[in-house]
Amino acid sequence: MIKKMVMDEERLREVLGFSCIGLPEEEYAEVLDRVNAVLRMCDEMQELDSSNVSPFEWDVIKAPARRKDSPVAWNGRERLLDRAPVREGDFFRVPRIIARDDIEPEEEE
Amino acid sequence: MREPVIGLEIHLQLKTKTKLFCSCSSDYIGATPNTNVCPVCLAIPGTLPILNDRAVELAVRIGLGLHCSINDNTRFHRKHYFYADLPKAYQITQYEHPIAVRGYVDIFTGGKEKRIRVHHLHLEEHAGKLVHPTSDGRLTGASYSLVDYNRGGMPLSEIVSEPDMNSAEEVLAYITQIRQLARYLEVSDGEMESGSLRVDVNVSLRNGDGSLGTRVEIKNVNSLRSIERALEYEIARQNKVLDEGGRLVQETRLWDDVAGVTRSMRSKEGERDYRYYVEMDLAPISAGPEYVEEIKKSLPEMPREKRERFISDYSLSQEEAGQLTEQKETADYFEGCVSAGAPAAKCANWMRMEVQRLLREKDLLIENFPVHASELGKLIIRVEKKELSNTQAKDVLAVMAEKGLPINEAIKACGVSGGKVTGLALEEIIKKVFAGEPEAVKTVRAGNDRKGAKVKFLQGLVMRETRGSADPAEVASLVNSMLE
Amino acid sequence: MEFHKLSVLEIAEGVKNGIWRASEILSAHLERIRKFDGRINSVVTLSEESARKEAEAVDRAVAEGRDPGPLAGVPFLVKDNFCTEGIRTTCCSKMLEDWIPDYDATAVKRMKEAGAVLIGKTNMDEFAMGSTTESSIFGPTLNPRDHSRVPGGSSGGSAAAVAAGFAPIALGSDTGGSVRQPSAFCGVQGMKPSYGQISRYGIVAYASSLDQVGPITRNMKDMAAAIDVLTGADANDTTCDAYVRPSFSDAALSGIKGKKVAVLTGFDSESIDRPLVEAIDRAAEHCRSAGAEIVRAALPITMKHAVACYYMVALGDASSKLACFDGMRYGHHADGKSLFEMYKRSRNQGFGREVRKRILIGTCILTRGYYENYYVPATKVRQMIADEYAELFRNVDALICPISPALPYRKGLVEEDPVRIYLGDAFSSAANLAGLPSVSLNVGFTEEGLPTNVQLMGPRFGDAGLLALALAIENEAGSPAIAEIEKKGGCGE
Repeated sequence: MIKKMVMDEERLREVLGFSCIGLPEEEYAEVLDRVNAVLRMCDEMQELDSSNVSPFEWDVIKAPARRKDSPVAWNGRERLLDRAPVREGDFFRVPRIIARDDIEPEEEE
Repeated sequence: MREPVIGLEIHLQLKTKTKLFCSCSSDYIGATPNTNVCPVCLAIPGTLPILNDRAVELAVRIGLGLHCSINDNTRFHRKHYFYADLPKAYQITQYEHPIAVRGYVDIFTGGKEKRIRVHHLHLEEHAGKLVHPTSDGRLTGASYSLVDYNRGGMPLSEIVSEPDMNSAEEVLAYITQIRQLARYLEVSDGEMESGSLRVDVNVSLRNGDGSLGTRVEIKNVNSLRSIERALEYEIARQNKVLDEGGRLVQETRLWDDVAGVTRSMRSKEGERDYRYYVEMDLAPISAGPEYVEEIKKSLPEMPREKRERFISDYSLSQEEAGQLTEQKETADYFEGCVSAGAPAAKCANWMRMEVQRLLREKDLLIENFPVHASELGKLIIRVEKKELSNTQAKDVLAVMAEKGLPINEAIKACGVSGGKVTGLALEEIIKKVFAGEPEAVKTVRAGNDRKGAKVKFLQGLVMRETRGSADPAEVASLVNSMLE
Repeated sequence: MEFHKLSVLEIAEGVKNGIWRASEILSAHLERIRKFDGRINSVVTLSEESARKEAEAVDRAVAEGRDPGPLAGVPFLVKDNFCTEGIRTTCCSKMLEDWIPDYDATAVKRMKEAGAVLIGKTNMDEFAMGSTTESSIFGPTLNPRDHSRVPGGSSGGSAAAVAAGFAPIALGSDTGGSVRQPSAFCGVQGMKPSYGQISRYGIVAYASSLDQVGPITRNMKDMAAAIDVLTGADANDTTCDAYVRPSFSDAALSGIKGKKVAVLTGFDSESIDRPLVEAIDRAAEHCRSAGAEIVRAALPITMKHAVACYYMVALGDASSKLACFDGMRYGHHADGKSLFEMYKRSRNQGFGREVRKRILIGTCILTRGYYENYYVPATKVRQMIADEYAELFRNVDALICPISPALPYRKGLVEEDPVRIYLGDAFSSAANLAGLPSVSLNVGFTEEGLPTNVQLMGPRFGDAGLLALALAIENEAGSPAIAEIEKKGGCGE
């Protein structure tokens, strides 16, 4: 049974929030058309019987050895901070982390 | 009363030398902000995560310590959200198939043993740290924030329990066990104060019909005491809401340690969509049966086994054995002492009394105690052989700890030679005795002690002072010469 | 001496033996770029200063009798999503307009260690999202064979530059055909090796499990030499396999006598431009001449579902990999009154429309409901596609099929018909999904001078055998000539 999902404005608004991308309302319809065109292209995949198939995994010849636990210093820190968009001393500075109506700060410590 | 049903998520910061996915040093506490960083943990374009071998080993170790099954070929997943402390805007964690599953911890409360099941353990990376320029350092009211990525990418193992706990007491016992286990296995320092052990508490109240109530998650409990208080508050709050006929919301609440309340942080818990999917920049984690067997062989004795062994092998009481095995370092010290030939009971006693006292006085950990375990053992043997009195040995130990001297030199320094008070130490005692008996001394010095009774009297006093551990001949000779 | 007509191996041989100097080779290519790139806009940054130093170092090595490396003095270009130390790396996006990495991608590093000289960065679709190289902040690249057409994408600049003789080799990245399709449109040879063959470290990611570095050359011997230099394990990329590689240059010479090569059937040949169908027939003929047996084979699951599967995987991953661009540590920054406003404004201003759209589609696919009904089935279909190829390659040694269903598009088709552009990935994306090696090989041109390439595919990590096949066909078909960029407008006018 193919479940044909159609993305609507409500989900688009959520997605805009999740991806921190803005879109003027006039453009919603165009984006929805595009998303739904892609989804229509993909409906048919559900037709295949994949009940005995596990999600894709690589065929590897030789996995590399895991990284040894030895510290290595990086000397690019100054350069990075110098070119950081907003720097305050040793820190990166960000504006007010206020709650949005849909997203609140992840952690309070 | 509705029964509280509690589950815990404990985050242990793993004791590796580098971060989970890059070679930055893990020694970030106290470091200048943004110095333990590199292109990988800063999410510079084009970089890729590289898994730390030791982190996997430690995760398997603690998994085994928790009696879990270790899964081979588990995957990492990405957990997506935007926040200032998360450079990739996703955290690399494990979601569907964690590295260790279905374990347990046995706790003792109210004299009874209870098994708390562990649902799973998984690996994940830590986020960076935010600094808020407010008076209380908290986010509320901050007009800007500062970001330090030193902690970002540090390896964490998250241990998720089943909701098998029903009281604050059980919760504290469970946390204590996990901490002890983590330290025994040298997997983590397990300290709540420095943040290497963090706890999130999930609590609900069982309904009258036995069904589980609405679950609330409590974050920001940073000490055992906070956990106790937060549970007390939250259980009371939930009861009140239900008593008044209200409905509880499944949510996350923050504990406010100052105000003593939990506050709603995120409503509509279910709606936060992290869009988990497999992290394809990392291969599956190889942790097959041979690898796990190797690690199993290298595991140290677990606290519980050690405690039981101490009780049976050394005839110690439950309490004594418990105290000695609370920390592996203490247990090792005790056994070092015993293996020098000293009786176990005496070693236990000495450790409980004198060693503890000296550690407290000098504010030391047993790992840094200057007296080697075997030296203490030898000292105790001397006492057993009556070469030293108990009191003398205490002094000697104090000198050994203070000056770091080996036994024989410490004994000399105390003036207790071969068990005898001699030389300068003896002279000091004689002076003290003379000072206490000015009449007798005057009589002898005036030449009025014809029968020598006063001299003998003074000699006797000196012998008593030295508790019989002076050579009578030396005492006589010194007393005589000092009376002149 | 028309240095730009020399191949990679010819240059290296000549420089190593002191016949000519790396510095003069460099100058010739830089001059050609300056003179003619204005017509096609394939190069976005020239790194002349550092290139001079590199060329001088090569010349010094030769003069001092030291080994200058297997690619001594060979000028090369890389797509602008390859990190190059000290040289701006923009992904042709406003987001990274001013970004200068302080490290070289492993692929770049290995080319330099082999004695090659990096001369610049090439144009691409913004963040590799596109098949026409029309979405770059530096403007579109034009097809050197016909300026009214696109060079393909997203590595259009690299393919166009090699076709125009600006460098004998350029590197691109291939996520769903992004090296092979532009190679086909520009009439040069392009290869996407097996996934895990070449380190991805330093390539700004589009999709973690699809991206692979791909060289673009004008002949297959050069290609094999490039693979030899680029391949190998890398501590900075654990998805790069650690197996011991053979010499691909040696393996490429082994010929295909007795090999079994399948020609793909089961698709509507009416949907493919006629010259491209004929190209496949020609390629099959060349195989027969070289001693191989030709059979037919169908891949029903792949043909029906590869594109859909590819888009689910690629878009989902792209939305994830582009989330690090938030204006905080690097890249375009726009102020905001709050953290989230800063994020939104930085991303909206930094990303072009196509990129924003794809991020939205990708994010949507990963959300509740869509994830279970679209993304998860795609991960399983992906395995089924890989299994279908594995089964095929148990019976045959290689596959010949189209790389693009169409000859190079005219400019502006993207705006008119985006879905048609998507379907352009129908044949190329399977190789990325299954991690198989694939070559886009030129086997001739139409009367109008448009290139006709075919796709050759081999089993996973069967890159050596595939190179042998490609070289064997090239020996029959000849390698493509440089586009006559000197002629105004290219052949189309």
